Amino acid sequence: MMNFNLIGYSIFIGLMVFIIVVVGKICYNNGNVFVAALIPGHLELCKQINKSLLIGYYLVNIGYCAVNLSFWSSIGSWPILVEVIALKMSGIIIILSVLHYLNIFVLTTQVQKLIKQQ
Amino acid sequence: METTKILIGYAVYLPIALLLTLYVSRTLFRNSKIYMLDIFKGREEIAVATNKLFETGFYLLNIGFALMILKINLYSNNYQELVEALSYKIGSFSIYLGLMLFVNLYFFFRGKRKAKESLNPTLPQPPRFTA
Repeated sequence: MMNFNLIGYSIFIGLMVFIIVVVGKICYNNGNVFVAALIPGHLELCKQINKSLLIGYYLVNIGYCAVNLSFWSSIGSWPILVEVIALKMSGIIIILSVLHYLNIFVLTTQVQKLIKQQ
Repeated sequence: METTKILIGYAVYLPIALLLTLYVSRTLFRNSKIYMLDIFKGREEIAVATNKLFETGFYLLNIGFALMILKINLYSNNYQELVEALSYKIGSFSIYLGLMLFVNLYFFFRGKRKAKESLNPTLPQPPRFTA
């Protein structure tokens, strides 16, 4: 008899790390412009700030995923496995998207103010 | 096996939901670059970056919702119930996607209107001294 929980953990961690890394890369590459606009004239410093933000993002999210694993109940069959993985992933993805939209809101309003100042 | 119909349902629902999300967001964000360029007054790197960030947020929100409503309950294990449950799921998900599309369009139009309002420059204020 195989253990469904272990299969579920490996699939869940694999998919979540993939999503978190891809989203982090996209935010890092596209966020450079905004961070550079906040402290004009110090491009190298802004890059370092952005890099440390990225590391903090990875640590918080992957750590939260790992903590989430300890709250799973035991799984008995394939359909329940799919349901539980989908529910847990949807929770984390929706939290991620809310944080992301919050970031976009702050960034765009800050940058609009900076453009108007010039 | 007793529960194979539900697994078939998941195997049909997941690809359809993910492809629908992909298609809608690609259509929306290929066309939204023009609005972004207008909002940020032609500063291309900021416009492209904001567009990409909005696209990522759209993907995350919709895929998260698609996974959240995945669970299918069938009273009896036959194909008629499976088709009915699947059509309910996919229909409600596509209605939700349409609403999200219009919300995003509203944001673009609002940003464009605000950018147009701030286009006519305000007179410089004389310096004021406060005690």
